[in-house]
Amino acid sequence: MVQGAGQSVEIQGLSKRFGDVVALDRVSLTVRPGEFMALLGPSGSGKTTILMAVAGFEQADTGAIRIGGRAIDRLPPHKRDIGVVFQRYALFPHMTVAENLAYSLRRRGIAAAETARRVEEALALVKMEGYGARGVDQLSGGQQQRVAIARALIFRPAVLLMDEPMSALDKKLREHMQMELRLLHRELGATIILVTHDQEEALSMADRVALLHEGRLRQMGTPAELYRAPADAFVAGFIGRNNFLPIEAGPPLRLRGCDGDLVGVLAEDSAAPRPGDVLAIRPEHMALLPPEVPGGEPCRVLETAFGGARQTVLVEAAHHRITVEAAVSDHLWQPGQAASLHFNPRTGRIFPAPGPQ
Amino acid sequence: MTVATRTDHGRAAMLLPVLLLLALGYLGPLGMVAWTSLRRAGQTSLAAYAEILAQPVFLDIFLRTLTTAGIVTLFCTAIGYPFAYLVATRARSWAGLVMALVAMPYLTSILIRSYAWVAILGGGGLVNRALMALGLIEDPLRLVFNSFGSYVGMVQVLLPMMVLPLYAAMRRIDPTLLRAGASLGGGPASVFATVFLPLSMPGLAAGAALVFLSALGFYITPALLGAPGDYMLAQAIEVRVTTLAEFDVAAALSWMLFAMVAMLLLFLRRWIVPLGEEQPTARPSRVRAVASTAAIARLVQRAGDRLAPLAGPLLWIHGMLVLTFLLAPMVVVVLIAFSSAPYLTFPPPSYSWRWFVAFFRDTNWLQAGWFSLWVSTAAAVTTLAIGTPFAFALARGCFAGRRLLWLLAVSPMILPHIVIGLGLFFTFVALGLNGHPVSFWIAYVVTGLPYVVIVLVAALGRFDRDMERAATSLGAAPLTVFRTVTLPLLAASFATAFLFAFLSGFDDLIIGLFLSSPRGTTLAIRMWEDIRLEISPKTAVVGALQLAVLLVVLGARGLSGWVGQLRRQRTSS
Ligand SMILES: Nc1ncnc2c1ncn2[C@@H]1O[C@H](COP(=O)(O)OP(=O)(O)OP(=O)(O)O)[C@@H](O)[C@H]1O
Ligand SMILES: [Mg+2]
Repeated sequence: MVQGAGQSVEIQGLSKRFGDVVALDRVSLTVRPGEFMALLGPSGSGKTTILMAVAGFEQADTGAIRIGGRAIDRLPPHKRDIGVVFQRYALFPHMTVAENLAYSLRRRGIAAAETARRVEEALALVKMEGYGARGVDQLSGGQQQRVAIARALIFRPAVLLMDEPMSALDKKLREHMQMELRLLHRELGATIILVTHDQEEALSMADRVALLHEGRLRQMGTPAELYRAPADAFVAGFIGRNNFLPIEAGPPLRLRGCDGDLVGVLAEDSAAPRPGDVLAIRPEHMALLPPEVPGGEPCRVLETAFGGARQTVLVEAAHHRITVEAAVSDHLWQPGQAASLHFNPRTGRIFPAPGPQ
Repeated sequence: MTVATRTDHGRAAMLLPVLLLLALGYLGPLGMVAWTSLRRAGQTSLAAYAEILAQPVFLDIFLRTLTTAGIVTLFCTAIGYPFAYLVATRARSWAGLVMALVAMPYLTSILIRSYAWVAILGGGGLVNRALMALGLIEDPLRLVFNSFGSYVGMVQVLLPMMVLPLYAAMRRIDPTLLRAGASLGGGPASVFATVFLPLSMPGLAAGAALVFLSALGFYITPALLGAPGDYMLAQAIEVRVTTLAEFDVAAALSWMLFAMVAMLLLFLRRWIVPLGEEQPTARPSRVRAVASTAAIARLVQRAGDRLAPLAGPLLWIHGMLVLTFLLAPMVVVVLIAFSSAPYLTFPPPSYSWRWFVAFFRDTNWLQAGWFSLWVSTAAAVTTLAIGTPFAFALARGCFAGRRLLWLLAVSPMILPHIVIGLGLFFTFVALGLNGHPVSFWIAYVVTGLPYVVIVLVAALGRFDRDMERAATSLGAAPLTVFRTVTLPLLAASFATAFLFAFLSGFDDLIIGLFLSSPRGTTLAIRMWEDIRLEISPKTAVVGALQLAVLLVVLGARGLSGWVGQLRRQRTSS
C-alpha cells in the first residue's frame, strides 16, 4: 500500500472544561509530518480529550487545530480523513473483516474491484491474508487489533490516532504488536499520535513524547530528552524511577544528613542547588559497594528484589530511603547487610520542590 | 457528531414530536378529566367530589381497591421471589429459556387470559372436574366470579412484572459475594439473609411497586372473574360512564385514582427508574443491619441452615408449578379454539376446526380484526418514528429533567388506562373525533410509547458509542452512520420495541371501550361483547391465531440467531 506522506498536526492553546473539571489547559504541541508522537500521562490527564478534539468528536472550548497547515475546526469529523484506532477496537460486529475494511472505501464511492484489491492489500499489510470472510468475533485480541489498524489505514489517512490500542493485550502480544506498529510506521510514513499511560510503550515506540499532567503539557521531547533532562520534578518522577533527596542549608550545601560532595554529583546542565530544593537521582545512577569502600555514604539494606541482570535494593542512609539498582554479576545483597552508597558523578539533577509522583 | 444532539436546538427538535403527542394524547386528556370532574350543570363545583365522599359505597370501593392491590402484591412477592431466586441462582443454564417462558404470557392479551381462567376455574372447568374425578369433592367449588377468581387472574397477569425486575437484580449479584459470606462463616440461610436478600431488595422494590400500581387500575380481570358486585375503582368508573352517564362523578373518581397512582409513582420512582436506565438507588445496607442485629433473625437463620438442604427440591417443585400457572391459560386457549362444542367448555368434548371456520366467516369479527391490525400497526410505526429520536435525546443528552421526561413518557404504562381512556374520550368528543380511526391511532401511540422508550433507552445505554465514532472517522456522514451501524446493531431492540408497541394497541380493551363507535370497533371489543353475552370459543380462536403468529415470528428470529451462533462456534473451534 502506497501511503501519501504524513501531515503535520498543530495544536494551539487547546482548552476544554467538563463542568468543573479542567480536562485541557492551554495545550500547544506540534507533530511533524510523518512523526510518531506519543501522548503520555497518568489517568485523567486529558490524553483522550486531545485525541477526540483532533478527530472532531469533542469540541474544544478554545484553541485551534491545524492539519497540514489547514484549520480543521469547522470540518465535521467524517470529512477530516483521520484514521482512528479505538481502545476496544470498535470493529463492527455485524460485518465480516473484509466488510469492516471496505467500509471507508464504500463511503468514498470507490469501485468494487478497486475496493476488493485494497482490502486484500490491507490484509496483507497486517499479515491477515485469508481472514477476510471471518466475523470479527472469531478473531483473537491481537488479530482484532490488526484489523482495527488496517481499517484505520486503508483509506490512506495522513494522520493516524490511536487511543491505548495495546491496553487490551497481554504483555507478550503487546510487545510484539509494538514492534509491528513501528515497522508499519516506517513503511507507511503516516503521522501517528498514540495515546498511552504506559511509559515504556511511549519511550520505546515514539519519536517524541508529550507528557501531560492534569490537562497541562509538562514536557515534550525525544524519549532520551525526557529521560535525561526532565523539565521538572513531576517529569523526573514519572519517566523512569527517581529518588528525591532534600537539600540542607550549608555551607557547604549538602544532602540532609550526608557529608559527601554534592556538586560533583550534579549533571552539567542541572540547576544550581538552593536550600529547600531536592536532588533527583535515579536508582541506576548509584552503586552499592561493600561497607569498607571509602568515599561512600554508609547505609543498611532494607529489602531486595531480584530482577535478572539487576537487583533492586532499598537501602536506608541518613534516614532517607533510597532505591538502588545494583548489577548482579558479583554479589547479591541481603536485607540487614551494611553497605556504602556511591553516587555516580554528573548524574543528579536539582528541582525546586518534590513534584507529585 | 453522529445522531447525538449537538445543540439545544437539535435536542428540542428530537424531543418535540413526543412532547406534542403527550400534550395532545395524554396530558391534555388528563386535564379534561380534571376539568369535567369540576363541572356540574354548566358550573364549576365540587359537587362530584362531595357526592363521592358522602357515600359509604365509594369508601368501600377505595378500600377494596387498595386491599386487592395489596393482596395481589403480596401473592406476587411470595410466589415470584423464590421463583426468581431459583432461575437466577440454580438454573443458570436454563435461565434464558425460562425467562422467555415467563415473558410469554405477554403474547396474549389480558382479556384472552382472563377468559381462559373462566374455563379453568368455572363450575364445569378443569380444576373442578379434576377434583371431582379424584373424589375430593362432590359438588363443584365456586372458584370464579368471586374474589378468589379475581386474585388468581390478577396474580397470573402481574406475576411477570414481579419476576422480571427481581431476576434482573439477582443476576447482578456477584456469586463471589456469597462465597465470601460462606468463607466468613455464614451458613446457607444466613448468607442468604445477610448478603443475598439485601442485595436483591432493589429488584423486589421495583417489582412490588410495579405490581401494586398496576393492580390499582385493573379493570378487565376483576370485571370478568370477580364477584359481580365487588367493584374495584376502574369498574366503578366504567359503570358511571357507560350505564349511568354520570360523567362528573366518573371524572372525579378517575382523577382521585389517577392522583393516588401518580403520587405513589412519584414517591416510588427511585425504585422504578433503575429498571429503565440507571443503577438501583435503593440502599440495601440498612436492611442488612436490621436483619443481622435482630436476635430473632439469627434464630430463624440457624433453623434455616438446618433446613437448607430441603430448599433445592422445594424450589424446583415451586418453579414447575409457577411455570404451569403462567402458561396454563395459553394452553387452554389453544385447546378451546379447536373445540367442537357450541359453547365454552373445558376440556372440549372433541376437536374440530369449526370455530376457526366460524371466525373467518363472520364479517363483523374480520372487520374488527382488520381494524385492530392496521390501527395498531400505524400506531406502532408512528411510535417508533417519534420515540426513536426521543430516546436518543434522553440517552445521549446530559440535561436537567431527563429523568423526569423519561418518567413522563413511561408513565402511560403504569397509570390506569381507564383514566387515560376517559380523558381521551372527553377530548375526542370535544374535537368531534371520537370513534374515528385517528382517535385510536393517537391513543395507541401514547400507550405504545413507554415500551419504545424503555427498550431503546436501555439499549442505547449499553451501546458502545465508539462504534459510531469509528464509522464517522471512516468517512460516514451522520445519517449513514445511523443506517449502517446504529440501526443494524440495535435491530433486535427496534424489533422488540415495535412488537411491544404494536401489542399494547392490539391487545387494548379499556381505551377502546371509550373510543369505539360504529366507525371503529376493535377486535378486543368484539371479544369483550362476545364474552359478556355468550362466551363462545371464537375468542379462543383469536388467542390461538395471535399466539401462533407471534411464536412463528419470534421462533424464526430466535432460531436464526441460534443457528448463527452454532455456526460461528463451529468455525471458530
Ligand atoms: N464526557 C466527559 N464528561 C465529563 N468529564 C469528562 C468527560 N470526558 C473526560 N472528562 C474528564 O476530563 C479529564 C480528562 O479526561 P481524559 O479522558 O482526556 O483522560 P485520559 O488522559 O484519557 O485518562 P485515561 O488514561 O484514564 O483514559 C478527566 O478528569 C475526566 O474525568
Ligand atoms: Mg483515555
